[in-house]
Amino acid sequence: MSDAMRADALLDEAPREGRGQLKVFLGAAPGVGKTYAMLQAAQRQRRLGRDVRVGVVETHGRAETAAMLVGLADQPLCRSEYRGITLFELDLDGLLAVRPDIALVDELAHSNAPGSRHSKRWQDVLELLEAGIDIYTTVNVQHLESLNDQVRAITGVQVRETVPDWILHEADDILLVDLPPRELLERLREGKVYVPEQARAAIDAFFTQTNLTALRELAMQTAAARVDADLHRRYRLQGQRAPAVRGRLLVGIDADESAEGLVRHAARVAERRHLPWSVVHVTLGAAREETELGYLQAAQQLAERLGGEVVELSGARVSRTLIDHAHERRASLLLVGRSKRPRRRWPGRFGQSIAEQLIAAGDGLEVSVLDQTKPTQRKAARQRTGRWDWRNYLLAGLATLSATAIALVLARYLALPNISLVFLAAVLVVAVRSSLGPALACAGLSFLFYDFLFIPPTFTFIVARQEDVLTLLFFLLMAILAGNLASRQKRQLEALRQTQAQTTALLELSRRLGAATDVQAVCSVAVHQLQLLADIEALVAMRDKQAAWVFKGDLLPSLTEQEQAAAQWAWKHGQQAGQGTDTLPEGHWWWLPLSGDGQPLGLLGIRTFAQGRLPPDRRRLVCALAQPLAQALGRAMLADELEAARLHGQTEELRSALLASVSHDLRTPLTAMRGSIDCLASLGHSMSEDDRRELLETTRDEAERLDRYIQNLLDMTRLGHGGLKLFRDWVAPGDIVASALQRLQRVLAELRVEVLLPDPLPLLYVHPALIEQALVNVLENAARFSPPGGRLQVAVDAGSNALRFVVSDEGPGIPEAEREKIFDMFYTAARGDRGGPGTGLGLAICQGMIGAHGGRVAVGEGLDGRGASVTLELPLQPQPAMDMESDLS
Amino acid sequence: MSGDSASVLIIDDEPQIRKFLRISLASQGYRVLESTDGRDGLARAALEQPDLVVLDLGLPDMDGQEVLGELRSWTRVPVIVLSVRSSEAEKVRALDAGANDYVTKPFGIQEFLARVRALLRLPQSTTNSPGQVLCGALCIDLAFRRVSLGERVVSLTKKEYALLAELARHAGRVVTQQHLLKIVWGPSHAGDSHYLRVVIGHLRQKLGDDPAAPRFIVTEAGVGYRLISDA
Repeated sequence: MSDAMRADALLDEAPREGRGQLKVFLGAAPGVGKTYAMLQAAQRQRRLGRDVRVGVVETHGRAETAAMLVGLADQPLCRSEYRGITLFELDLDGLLAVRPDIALVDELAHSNAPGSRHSKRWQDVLELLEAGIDIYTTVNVQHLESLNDQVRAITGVQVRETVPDWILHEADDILLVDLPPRELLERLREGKVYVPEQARAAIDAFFTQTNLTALRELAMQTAAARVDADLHRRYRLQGQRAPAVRGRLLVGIDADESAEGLVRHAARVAERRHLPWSVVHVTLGAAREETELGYLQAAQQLAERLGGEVVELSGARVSRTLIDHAHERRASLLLVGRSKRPRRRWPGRFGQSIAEQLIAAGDGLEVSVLDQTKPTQRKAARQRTGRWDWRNYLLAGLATLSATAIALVLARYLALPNISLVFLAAVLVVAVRSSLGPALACAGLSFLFYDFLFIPPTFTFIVARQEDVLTLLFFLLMAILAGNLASRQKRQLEALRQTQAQTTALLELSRRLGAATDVQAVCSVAVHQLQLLADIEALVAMRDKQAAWVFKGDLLPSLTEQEQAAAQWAWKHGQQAGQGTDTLPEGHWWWLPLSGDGQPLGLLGIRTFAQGRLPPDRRRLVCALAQPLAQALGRAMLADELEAARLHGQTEELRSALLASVSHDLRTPLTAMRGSIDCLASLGHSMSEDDRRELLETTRDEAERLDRYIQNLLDMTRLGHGGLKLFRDWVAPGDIVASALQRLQRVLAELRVEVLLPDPLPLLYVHPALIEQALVNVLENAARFSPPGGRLQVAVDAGSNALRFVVSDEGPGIPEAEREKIFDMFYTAARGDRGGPGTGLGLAICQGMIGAHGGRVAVGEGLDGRGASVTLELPLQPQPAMDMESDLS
Repeated sequence: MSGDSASVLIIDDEPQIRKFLRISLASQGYRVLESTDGRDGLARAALEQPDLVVLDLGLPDMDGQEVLGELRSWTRVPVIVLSVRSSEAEKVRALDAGANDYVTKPFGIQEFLARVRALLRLPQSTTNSPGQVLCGALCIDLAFRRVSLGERVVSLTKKEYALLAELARHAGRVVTQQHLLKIVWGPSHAGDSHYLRVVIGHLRQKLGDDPAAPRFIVTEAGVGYRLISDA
C-alpha cells in the first residue's frame, strides 16, 4: 500500500524534470516588501553566478526597490497599442528565446493586455516554467481565487484579478513576506507604499489596522497550509502513509448568486480535509432564465478552476437525487446553502427546505449547511412569472369551462360524485400540458364550479348535505394530488429525455468510433457526430510528415493568423487554446488537443454557430467526447502503421522470392546456351552435321526463351510499380493471335495448333502489346505442359459485352484446388525450383495485364475433358462509329 | 557507290552486333562499312555515300533520332533502325522522321536480310513507283489499278484499293498507321485507327488471308502494316 502511494508521489514529482522551479513571494497586502525581497534573492543568485533576467518588475517609483535592480540584466517589455493607449507587457517570446536561468516576474495576478498570447500573467509564467526557466514571482494573498470572498468580507474590497489556487501548489517554494500592520501603516503614511490616485479612497478603507491584521492572518494560514501539504508529500515520498482519503465532498448548488460563494467555501473545506470534491446541480426540468444560467455557469467554471468536479443531475426531488448521488459516489460530506429566500415552489415535503430534508433523510451523511450572508433579491422571484405562465393559466380556465360544459351535458346520466371525474380529467390535462401552478388553479376553479353548479343547492356556494361536503373535499384533495403528480411526472420525463438524448449521443459516438477502422473514418465519424450533438462546426486537424496542417472535416476552414497561432500553441503544449480559453482567445475556433501517450495526435477544432461562447455543459460534453476520440484516433493510426508494416513485409517476401526465381529462370537457358556453344566450339569438328545443327538450334531457342523471361521481368516491374499506363487503341483480335503465334513459332512447332476465329469479330480497345504478352504467356504455359504432338487450341469467342481468348491443351490439367492459385505471384514464385520448367510468373503477369484492362482470367477443363483451358476475358467497348461514306468504293 | 554490289553502312556501338551483321551481309554479297558512333557515322555517310544505312537508336554520343534527322536533311538513302522491343513510340517516331524500316532487338537474321533486300530493290528515287508488285499469288498492278489473286480478279472498294496500293508501293517495308490513315482518309483522320482495322479486315477477307497466319498483309503491332513481298 505504501509502495503504491509512494509511487504516486514520485510520479507527481516526475513532470518536474525539465521544469523550472517556481518561488513565490507571498504577502498580506501591497507594500510589505515582496518585490524588494524578490530582488534581494535575485541579487544573491546573481552573485552565485546564475543568469538572472528581469522579466517585469514594478518599482512603483520606490528608490530603494529601484536600487536593488542595479546589476540585473533586463528583458525589455514589449509594447502594444490598445484603443489608443500604449501598454507594456512581459516579453514572453523574448524570454523564451533568451532562456535565462532565473526570470523575475512581478505581480503574478496581472491581466495581460488584449492581444497577448495569454490573458493572464500566471499563464505566461507557466509557459516559462515549462521551458525550464526558474521563476521568482510575487503575489498578494487577496489575489488567491479561493480566498476572494473572504477577503471581500474582511476588507469590503472586491479584488478582480485572481490567481487560481493550484498555482501555489505548483510552487516549489513559498516565502511569506511579513510586516506587522503598524509598520505597514507607517510606511503608508511616509508615502513608501504605491497608491494609484484613483484608488485612494478605496485604499484608505483597505488599509485599516483590523483589515491588515486579518489579511496577515490569512496569509499566514495559507503559507501554513502549504507547509502542511509539503510535509504530507514528504511523508508519502518516504513511503509513510498519508492520511487516508475519507470519502468525498459534495456541494449542492442552485442557479442563484450564492452558488459561487458555496463553491469557494467547498474548495476550502475540501482542501483542509484533504477530500476530493464535486459540485452537484440538480435540475428539475423546468426552463431557466438567462441570469440564473449565468450564475450557474460561473459557479461551475469556478469549481473547475479550483479543482473540483462538476456534475449535473436531473430528478424529481432535489434532496432525494442528492442523497442517491452521495451514496453512489461514497460521499462523506454534503454541503448545501441555506437561502433566506421565500420558497418559490413546493419544496416537496410540506415546507421543509432542502437542507432540512437532507438532514432528515441522509443516513450516515454529514450534512453541512452554509448560511448565505448575502441579502437575497426578491425581485428575481417575482420575475419568474414569465411570459409563459399567463397562457397556461388561460388554458386552465378554458379547461375548467369545457369540463363544466361537458359535465352539464352529462349531468342527466351521471351520479353526482361521478361528475367530479370530468373535472378531474380537466385538471390532469392541464397538469400534463403545463406546470403545477396552472394545474392547481384548474383544480381550484373546478372545485368552485363543481360546488356552484352541481352540488345542491345549485347556483350557490352553500353545501346542503354532509356527504356532499366530503365529496367536495375529497375531490379537491384528489385534484391537487393528481395535478401534483402529473406535473412532476412531466418534469421528470423532460429531464430524462434530455439526459437520454445526451447519453444516446455519447453511446452513438462510441459505437461508431469503435467501428471506424482507419484515420479517415475516425475523423469523419467524429466530425459528423459532434455536429449532430450541438450547434457547432467541428473538424480534426492533424499534421503530416512534413509538419503541414491537414484538416479533416466537412468544410475546410480558412483560419486567421490568430486561429492558426492558437492551433499551433495547442499542439505544442498539449492544452486547450482558442475561443473560450485563456490562451489566444480571439478568433472563432476552440482547439482541444487529442493526445495519445503524451504526444498530440491531432487537434479537435470546435466553432459555434451561435453568438458568443459555447455553454459550459456543451463544452463539458465536447471535452468528454475528446477522450474516446483521441483513443480511437490513436488506435486507427496504429492500425494504419500495422497495415503498412504488413504490406512492407509482404513486399519484402515477394522480392526475395522473385530474386530466387530470377536467378533460376535466367540461369537455366544460359546454362543450355553455354553448354551447347562450348560443345560446338570444342567438339564441333568431331560431330555429325545433324548434331551440330541441333546444338545450334538449341542455342537459338534458349536465347529466345531468355528473351521472353527478361520481358516477363520487365513487365513485372511495370506492374509492380503500379504505373501500368495503358495506351489503348482499336485492335483486331485476330492480329493479336497472329502476333502471339508468330512469336512462339518455334515453341509451338511440335504441337498441332488449331485456331478458331469466327468472322466478323468486334474490335478491342486495349493496349495491344500487353494483351499480346498475356496471350503469349498463356500459350507458352500450355505448350510447356502439352504432350509432344498434342493439340493446342486457340479460340476467340465474342459475347455482347466481352470477348474471350480461350487456350486449351491436352496436358495433365490443373487440379481444381490450384486453379485459383496459379495466377498468384506468390504461390508460383514461392514454389521455385520445384515448380517445373520455368515458374509461373508468366501467368501472374498475364492476370496483371488483363486485370489492368478490367478483364479477368479463368481456368477450366481442357479439350475433351482432359488438360486445362485458360480463358482471358476482356470487356468490349462500344464499337466506334464507322462513317459509311468513307468505305464506299 | 561503286561496283555492282551495294554498300551498307552499319552505325552501332556494339562490336558483337556489328560483327554478325557484317558477316551476314558480306555473305550475301554486300559491301559493309562500319561506324561506332553517330558523328563518325554521319561523316562516313557523307563521304562514302552508302546504298543503305543500318542505324542503332541507342548510340553513345548522339541520340539515334538525331542522327536520322541529320541524315535526312541531305540524303534520301534508305535507313533501317535497330530498336528495343517495347518502345513502339520510338519506332513510330523514327519512321515518321524518315526511317524506312526497323527491326526489333533481338532479331532473326533472315528477317533483317529480307528487309535489307526490300529496301535495296527499289531505285533511289521514290517518284517512279514500280508497275507491278508481286506477293506470292497476289499481283497488284498499280498502273492498271487491278488486283488479282492468281487468275481471279479481286474486286475492292476505293478505300481498300488505296490501302493496298500504298502498302504495295512500300512492299516489304513497314508503313505506319498514321501514314496510311493520312493517305487514304486524309490528314484529319490520323487518329481513327479503327477505320484501318476494319478495312484491313475486309481486305484480308477478300484476299483470302488467314488473320491468324497472314500471308500478305502483316500487322506490326502498334506501328503499322507491312505487305510481304517476294524477295
